[in-house]
Amino acid sequence: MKDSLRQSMALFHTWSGLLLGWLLFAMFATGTAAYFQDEITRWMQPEVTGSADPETSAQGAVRYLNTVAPDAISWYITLPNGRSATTQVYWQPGDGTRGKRGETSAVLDQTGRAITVRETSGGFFLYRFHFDLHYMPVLWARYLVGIAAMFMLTAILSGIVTHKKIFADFFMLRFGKGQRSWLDAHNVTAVIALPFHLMITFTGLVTLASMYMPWGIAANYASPAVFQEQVFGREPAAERSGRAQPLVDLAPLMRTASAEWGGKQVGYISVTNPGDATARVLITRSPGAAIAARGETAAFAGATGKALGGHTATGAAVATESVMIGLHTGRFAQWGLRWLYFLSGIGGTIMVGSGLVLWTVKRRTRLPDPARPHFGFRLVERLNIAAIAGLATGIAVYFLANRLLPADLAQRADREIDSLFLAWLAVGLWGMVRPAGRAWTETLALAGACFAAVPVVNALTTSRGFAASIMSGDWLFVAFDLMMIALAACFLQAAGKVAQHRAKNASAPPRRAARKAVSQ
Amino acid sequence: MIHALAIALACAAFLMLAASMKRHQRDLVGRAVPEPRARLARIAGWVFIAVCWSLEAVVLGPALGTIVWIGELSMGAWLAIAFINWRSGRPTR
Repeated sequence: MKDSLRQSMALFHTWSGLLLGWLLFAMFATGTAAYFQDEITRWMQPEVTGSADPETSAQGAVRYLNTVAPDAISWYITLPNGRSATTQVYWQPGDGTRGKRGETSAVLDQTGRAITVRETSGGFFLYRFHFDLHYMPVLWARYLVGIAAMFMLTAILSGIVTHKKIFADFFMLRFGKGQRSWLDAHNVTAVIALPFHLMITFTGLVTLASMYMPWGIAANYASPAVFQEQVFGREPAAERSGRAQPLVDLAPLMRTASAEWGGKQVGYISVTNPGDATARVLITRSPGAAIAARGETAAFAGATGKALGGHTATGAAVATESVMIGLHTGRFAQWGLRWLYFLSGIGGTIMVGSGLVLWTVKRRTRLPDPARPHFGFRLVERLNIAAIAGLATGIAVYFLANRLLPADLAQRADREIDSLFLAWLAVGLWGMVRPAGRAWTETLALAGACFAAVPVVNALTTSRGFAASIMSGDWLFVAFDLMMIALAACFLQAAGKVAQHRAKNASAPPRRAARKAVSQ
Repeated sequence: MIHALAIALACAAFLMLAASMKRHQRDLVGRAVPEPRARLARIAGWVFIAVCWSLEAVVLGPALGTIVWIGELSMGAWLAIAFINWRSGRPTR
């Protein structure tokens, strides 16, 4: 009975892991990178240096918005934090149009001047791709990602049942033993960070739970907007009165709000009807200031600065959701914990990747004719190459494109993203036309070479190369270069291993044949 | 720096647990460990893990401390596995 349960779970694990495994690999890899999305953005905007003070930045942003969009319906200001140095502003134009992307938003320095940085989506793209994908409607992408995450969750649970010796094999990682080594790698990466994998998969589903299961809200509220208003205190904007009245200084309001939250930093400010007597300022706590992702808010009258009361989402369910989203995104994490998150994410990426490879390694020995595998086997093999080596190359090329594309290129941010997918596609196609073993060696080496090229190209195209960064104590740039070198080393080492393995296999059959000849 | 200390503690905990297991004893200690000693190692391992949690809970509070502790346990376990692998002399045995 027990064995048959384990067998059925193993079967389930094999297929639930495989079916959307390639998508899961991409989600894990880009999601892991997203733990450093602010840092990646800073690297991709080498023009921005130094740090910024939130209060000065808020005042600067108001100055900028007063000249650019004085009659806007609302302003949204994302303040700099310890990790970023710029203020992002976005406004809804007064004529009610949505406005084209790029025309209703700006990146500012702390004095409120728009910074002319190279146009890039930075680390934010990797973060968004991780659940919105690209080149497809966001809604579809989120459903697809949700299904993948659900498969992941079932794969983890069935994997626990399948794994015969979680405790006995806890420390077992044997190298150079073919299938056994792949199984060890898959097991160890899964078991060592099992709490992380369970947490990240479950909380990932929770982040979009109200989209996947809208019925709770639909049954209890007249519309999603009413739900938002009642639970999160997001009131619809009042009509403009037409009586002009300048906005009060935001700095004292920020201090009041921050004091109310026990000193926690302000993250966002939105102003509705700016410049009007009905103006309303909503200050939201920084998501990095506590584990719970949904920050407390404090509202003020924009014309007088009078406090209009705060709003803390109450109720156990909302609090639980908020903490789960916070746990998933890790915005609260300081440096040490952020690295732990990142390393656990790398472990998860390796777990998914090794699981995909294991599927082929396990079946290769059982193929009726290993020289001519059947279609399904070839498909999985090729998709593995495309997913693993292809995505890695794509991300490296994304960084390279950031440095190499001309700064004034039209729609530059989109071209950077296109180059990621072009590289990914190219590697995928390369993997299709080459013999599988050789394709692995070549594409892994290519990924390694692309990562290795990043620090070189960075040094050649900016004044913030490795040596210069060390001299100026710019540890973010130093760490980025080191990470690229580490990734390059890993991929080149992997390429070398595959080549070695192939050479060994190629020389094995003749030897066996020779031995047979001798014994006869 | 608290992370370095806690990860070292977690690594020591996992090495203790490994030393309590027959299949790793030769690599870690060089010989088989008698059962009473092995039990002691097992207890010490779990105590170290508990101490590691208490340390983080005191410094960072129980909520944040627990999150950090889980990450540190993972890293400690990785280091322990790397150490065992190094001791066992790869690639095959």
